[in-house]
Amino acid sequence: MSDVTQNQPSGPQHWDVKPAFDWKTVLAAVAAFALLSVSAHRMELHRLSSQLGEFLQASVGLKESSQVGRGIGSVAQQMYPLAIAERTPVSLIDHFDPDDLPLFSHLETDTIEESALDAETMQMTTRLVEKTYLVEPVGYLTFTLGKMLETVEMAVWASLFAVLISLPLAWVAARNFTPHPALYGLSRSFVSFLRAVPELISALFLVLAFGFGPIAGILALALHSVGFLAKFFAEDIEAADKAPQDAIRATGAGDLAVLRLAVLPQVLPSYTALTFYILDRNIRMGTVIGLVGAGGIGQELKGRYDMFQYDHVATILLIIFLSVLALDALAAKLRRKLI
Amino acid sequence: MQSFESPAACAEPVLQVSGACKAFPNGPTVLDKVSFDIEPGSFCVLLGASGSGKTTLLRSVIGLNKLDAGSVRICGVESSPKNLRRIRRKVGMVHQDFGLSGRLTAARNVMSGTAPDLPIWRLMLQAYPEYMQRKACSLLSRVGLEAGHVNRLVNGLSGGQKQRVGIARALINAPKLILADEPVASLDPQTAQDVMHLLRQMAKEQGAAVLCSLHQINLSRTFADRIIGLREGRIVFDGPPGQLSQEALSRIFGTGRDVFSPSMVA
Repeated sequence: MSDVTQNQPSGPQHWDVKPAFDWKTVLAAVAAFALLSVSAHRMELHRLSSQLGEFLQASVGLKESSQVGRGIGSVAQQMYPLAIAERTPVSLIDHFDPDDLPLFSHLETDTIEESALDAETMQMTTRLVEKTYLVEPVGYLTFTLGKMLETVEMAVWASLFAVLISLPLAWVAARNFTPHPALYGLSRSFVSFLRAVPELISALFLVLAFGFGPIAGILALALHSVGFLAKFFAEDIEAADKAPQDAIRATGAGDLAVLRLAVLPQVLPSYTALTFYILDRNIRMGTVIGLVGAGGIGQELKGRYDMFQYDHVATILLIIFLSVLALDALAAKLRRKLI
Repeated sequence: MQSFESPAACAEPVLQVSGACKAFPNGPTVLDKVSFDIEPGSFCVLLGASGSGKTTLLRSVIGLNKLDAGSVRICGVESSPKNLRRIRRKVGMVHQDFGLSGRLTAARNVMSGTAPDLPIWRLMLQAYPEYMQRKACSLLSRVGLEAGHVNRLVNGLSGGQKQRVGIARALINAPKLILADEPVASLDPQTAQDVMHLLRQMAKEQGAAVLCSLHQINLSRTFADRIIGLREGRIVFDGPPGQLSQEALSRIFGTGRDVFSPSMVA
């Protein structure tokens, strides 16, 4: 609006109501559209649309087959039925005792053809051999559940370590409580660095350092969690109401007392919520970092996937899905109780 | 309402403010060469409109604000950054917005006044010694709270009850001086009367002097032994409530304000 109209006394019929959209908004929308178009080309999104179209046509019978359909179909076929039982050749079990079988298990004997090279005639000969298997009806299911439990344990340890490291770190990284401005800058950049390194990448290196197994996984999850928790813990401290802090300070108390008596009670609900979030996240990420050998169910998943045992993969995926669902419900219940 | 009836630990004035100046960066002058003494056991009201510098003055006394110039002496000891924490322990403070931790119980809030005397592990675990718990309970009962309030979160208390907890906290270190910054600003008139009465009575019992900022003229008249009028950071009136004339009020509040409606002045 020009100064002239502002200086002229005018009635409400001359007042301007700012429109919700103006030419700047339109320009921004056009620019965004152009950018997205370029990016869509780079991402080969046209291939996505043609493949999806083909798949839809094939699924309603307009087309013989589609690439996507074949891909999904072959995997789905091999996924069913799920691998629930465990079948181990007896010859592979150390100190096998047929009179002392594990609970609910039984023995099966198959006759299979075995080829061998005859050393004298230099010809392949085929003969029938009997092979005995130990069959545990829910063996693979319990094994996978155990692996899932391992992942959950990894997540719990990682979250515990992360909280224990983040609490003192948040003190240093909170602008209004840091012992020294240099320490503030240092801790903030350290925390940002931790947050910038994805678990999967740090797990790759930690597996090299600590070997395959849960230790590398716990450390990878904990490091990234510290990057997240310390930042938000510190920001909660900075945003806390100043009035109770002044009141405690006015009694002659030091920073630590102010943090304990005036800040902690305020930020505790938020800290609890953040910790629950990070635990939930660590359980989900814990399944993923197993792919690089950092323990837990992911390691099993990767192994079975690489051996094309999609029925086992299906069991693992189902267990992961159900566990995340169950833990979500549990966390919601706990949160209601604590906050 | 005599001023010097209570036994005093320090013979000299409990509080001596001399030449206090404060201006916020690029802002107006908030305190302009403010000087006054507070005698032991007296109840002194800082009267002034919003923005007259009452809160800044009180916060400067306890070192929550730094003065540009001037000095603060408490029981004859000059306040400096070095002995600030020691000096603060001799002073109790009651805050405008209560300054309580809403998610701590009433008893814990009262005991939080003793934080500087606690070993660090007791502080962290919130494990106050038994005698301190007894002291907090007896204070809570004397400010008019019941057994059922002791372990209630402060968030669940009413405004008047919160300020009673605030007064109990200010008293737990048996201070010789209590600073009260608009202690009843957020309370209804009846509760405000009750809380002011309680503050005065508790201070007399403990032999503590009170420096209380207020903007209500009638409350000041009722409870003060002495009124210091503050306007734009300057002392424009200093005397007993009996001397608070119409002319003095216009010096404190300016003219043409609705504070001069008969009900406010009466």
